[in-house]
Amino acid sequence: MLGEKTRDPSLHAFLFATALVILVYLPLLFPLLDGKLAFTYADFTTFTGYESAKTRNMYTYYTFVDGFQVEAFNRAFLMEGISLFSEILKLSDSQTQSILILACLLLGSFGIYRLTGTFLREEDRPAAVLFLVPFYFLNMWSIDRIIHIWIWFTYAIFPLFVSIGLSYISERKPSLLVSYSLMFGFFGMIPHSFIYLFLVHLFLAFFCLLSWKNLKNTLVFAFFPLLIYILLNLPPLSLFLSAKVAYPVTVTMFSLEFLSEHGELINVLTFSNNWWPQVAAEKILENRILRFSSFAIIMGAFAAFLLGYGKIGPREKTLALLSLLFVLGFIFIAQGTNNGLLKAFFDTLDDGQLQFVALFRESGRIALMIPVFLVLAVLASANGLGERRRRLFFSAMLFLVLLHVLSSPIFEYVGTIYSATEVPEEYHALDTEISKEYKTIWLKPPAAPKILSSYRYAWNKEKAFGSMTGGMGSTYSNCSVISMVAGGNASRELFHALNIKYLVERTDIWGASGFDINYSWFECRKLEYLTVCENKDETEPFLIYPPDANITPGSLNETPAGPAVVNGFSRINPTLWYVNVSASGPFLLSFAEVYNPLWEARVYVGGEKKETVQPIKLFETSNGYLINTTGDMEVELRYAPQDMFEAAMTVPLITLLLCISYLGYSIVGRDVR
Amino acid sequence: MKSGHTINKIICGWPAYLSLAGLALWALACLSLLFGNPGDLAFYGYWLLLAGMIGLAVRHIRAPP
Repeated sequence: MLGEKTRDPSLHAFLFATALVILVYLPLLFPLLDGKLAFTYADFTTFTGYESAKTRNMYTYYTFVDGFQVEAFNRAFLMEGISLFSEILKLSDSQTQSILILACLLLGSFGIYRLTGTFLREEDRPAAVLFLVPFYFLNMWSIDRIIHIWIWFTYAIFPLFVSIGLSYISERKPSLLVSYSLMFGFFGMIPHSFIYLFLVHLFLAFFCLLSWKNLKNTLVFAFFPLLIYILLNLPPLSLFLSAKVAYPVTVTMFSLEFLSEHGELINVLTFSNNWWPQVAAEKILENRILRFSSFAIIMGAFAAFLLGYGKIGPREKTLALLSLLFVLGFIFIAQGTNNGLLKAFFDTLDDGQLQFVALFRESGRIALMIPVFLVLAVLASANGLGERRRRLFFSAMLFLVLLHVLSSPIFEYVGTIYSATEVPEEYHALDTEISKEYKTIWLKPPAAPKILSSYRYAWNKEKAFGSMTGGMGSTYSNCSVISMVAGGNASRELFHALNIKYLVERTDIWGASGFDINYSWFECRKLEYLTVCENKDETEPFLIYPPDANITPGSLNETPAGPAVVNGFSRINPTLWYVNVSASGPFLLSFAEVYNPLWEARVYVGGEKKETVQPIKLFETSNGYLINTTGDMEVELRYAPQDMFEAAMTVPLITLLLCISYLGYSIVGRDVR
Repeated sequence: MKSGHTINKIICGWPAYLSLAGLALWALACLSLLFGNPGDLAFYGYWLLLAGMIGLAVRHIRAPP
């Protein structure tokens, strides 16, 4: 038994390298031991509660109304599943996140191990694994991108994705294609991840065409995963088709230039091209050892290919050439507007056309695609080097990776910046106590100092201010009426009309000062960090006005009562409310929820649908419905795209079931044979 | 005859030589990072390498199986 183990050094190297990487990532895995710890740094934020998933979704899609971004309830298939999964297993979102980080690390590391088996002889695999696994997971691009964790998950599994794709290309087993497609569907669910995986898929489809020289088979490989992707992600895709849901950020030439900061060629080649580093920029840009070792690693991949060019097989040559050309392509794009040709191209686009490059607006991010292609190029080229030179090469690369890791600020990133931390108890308490039937306005301080362009939490200055509280209560988007509320100039009636029950002063921001809100009908209480002010008046989400009332924020106190009364209401979920009304004539129903033309009122009398009413905008920010039905009625307030979203949910579930059944069948069938 | 053969070899092998020249410029740029600013070396190296690699790719695809 022991003898058997010692004969498998590549497996030992894989286990050792993976353990080493996990050790570095350990501060991100601590929530597994203590569920109270949470991720709180800027965009890398988790917080308890099923509806907090909405916050994460809002980073992905928004609805635009009259050019303004408003709240959209996009129940993305698997993203919200994280919170649902946490609910079922009684885990915190941070714990689920840690499990996913660990799982993706293991999958990616296994992918590299598998790739070395595809290209190298057994005796060369240990050195290759020892160099490639730490390089892949501990380089600056990988560590920095943890901040956008869904993109990092995709990055982490690239090696396995490529490995399964290559296996299918050489073995043509349908089960491999199904596994590959499932990975595509699961890990490509947010737009950035889809584009990254699509580029890797494009690379493999090219390679497929050049290897097989058979268009029909290549087309099957190219389109089957895309079909599975569409089926698995049909609910969010249906929103794009039905609800004018769009990518959240508009792009201008100024923003492209701004986001290309530090994107000069030499910075791209030295893994230093982040426009917003989370440590002082000098720690990266003036770090000679880091920059030298990073550049040398990239050069090493090209050198291995050129020196062994004549001695590698045609298939490996195709793969290495294609990989290195992709690397050069990504280097080209990653420079952003620092690249004269790219800038000239952007200059030819008008404002509308510029939106097509929205996903590439932070051009430096595309550099995240480079490591997997470097890994492929090295593995495909290594056999051409000859035994002695190959060993020398792997030793040199291992040394360079060591220099890169030890000289870079990755330990600060993982151990201090992104690490999970204890969150003051009051956040947990507010999350359960603030009812989502009311609206809460979060007030940012007029003045507060920043560190590295971010506000910091008063309870932990190392953590940049994030959206941790976004899942608590529900709120309105910014508009002039909300600015009036936040500025201390709103009337008591306006608070009533907009159902605003809480004002929370963000005194949890380090150095916050200058709050001067003083509404007499609010009672404020300073918690240890936050200041919570509660409206002592009773407020409700539904009010009745006469149908011809001229309602403005200034005329509210003179508005007569409408010809109807609200008998009761219930909130089923953020996309569905019911309200019972008795009316003697037509009336205007005010619904204190963020205005969106997609919020429909469906009026039922005795279970029979009488009318469907589209909203008009009230007080610049909420919804009003002119209803003509009289008598006792039930009004269903529904965010309409949710219907299509829920109907489409059956498609991914059936697809997933079919794919898993097929994989199970092929594994059982193989064992029987 | 011999010099003609060498010239012929250089002409036929231009993509590889171009790539190697690009890589050499990158090596200089990389070393100069240790002591100061590499200037435009990385830029010229990039374009030589790109041109060379495209040449190699075209030649490889067109080569008989």
